[in-house]
Amino acid sequence: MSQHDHGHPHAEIGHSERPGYYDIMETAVRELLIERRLLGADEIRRQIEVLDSRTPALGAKVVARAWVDPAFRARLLANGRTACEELGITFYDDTQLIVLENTDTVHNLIVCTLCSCYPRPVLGLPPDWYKLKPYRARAVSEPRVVLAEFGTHIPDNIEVRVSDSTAFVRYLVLPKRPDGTDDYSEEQLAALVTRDAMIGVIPVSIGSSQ
Amino acid sequence: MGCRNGGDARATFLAIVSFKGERDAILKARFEVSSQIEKQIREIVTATGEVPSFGVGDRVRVMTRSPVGHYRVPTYLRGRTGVVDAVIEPVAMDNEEEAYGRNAGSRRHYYRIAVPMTSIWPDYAGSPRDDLRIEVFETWLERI
Repeated sequence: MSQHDHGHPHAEIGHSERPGYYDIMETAVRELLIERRLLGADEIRRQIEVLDSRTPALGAKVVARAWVDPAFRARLLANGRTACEELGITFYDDTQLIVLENTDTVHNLIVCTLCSCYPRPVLGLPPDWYKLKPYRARAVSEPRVVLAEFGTHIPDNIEVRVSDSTAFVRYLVLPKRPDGTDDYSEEQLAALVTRDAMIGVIPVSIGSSQ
Repeated sequence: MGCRNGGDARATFLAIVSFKGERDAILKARFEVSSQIEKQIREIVTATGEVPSFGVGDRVRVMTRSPVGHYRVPTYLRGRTGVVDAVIEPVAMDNEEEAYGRNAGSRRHYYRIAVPMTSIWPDYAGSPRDDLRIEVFETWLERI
């Protein structure tokens, strides 16, 4: 236990385990890059700040705007990246964005079977399950079973379209706007849109919120 | 411009005729120049990979090969056939070449292809409508 005292007891916050193989590799590569002046410590810290500033709230704003503004929706479906940039959401890397619209005939699901490609500029870091092998393998081989485990049951007459993100293209699912939201403001709509709905594992419903 | 008497009217008329003549000559010259440019544009020779080899609707097969190094075509898709759904712009670096530091001249297109799930997984349990979409680099595709 720690020696300090600030009113409540807790275990010491710290790393007691030895660093793993990849931890050591990361440290060694980082130190080499800095030592050889290929990267500065500031650049690494800055990039962490860039990543930390991206959250699903950005994607939710994009979705809500597409629901209320048909012209924006058309531009978003034509070029996801430039439409997001219109809203001030910058793309700090060379990725393109394809926005996949869920309709009465198509339900979209996104995955990266090779690693963890994800629309980070608009959603931030992916959830752990998205990066783990069970989801990555099963999303492309038995997507309906995976969806059912998330509580999403897609009728057979609706196509399940799985997009495997392995190149420099990222995907964002544009979910269907839930019924009964005609009088919602853009902000109220955005509050309904969750990260999982933009991955395509669940629909947006009035009961859901971020 | 006002025309108060016959002399002015005649001068104005001649001015207009001469202006029309000049204008026609200019337009004609412009047309000749522009059609010459059009011809030059039609005869432009593009660099390798600059123009996509496949178009939307083309049927393609993902090649079966296992190169040494870094590549991004999942094994479950090798040898599968699909239809080009979209040509991805702009052209992109061939990451297999890039991994070895060979960047120049290796830009080509990625193609978003649609592959039916039932053709990938013989025992696929979902709807026959279900399909997979993925971007595959030009060097991995062959026309069928």
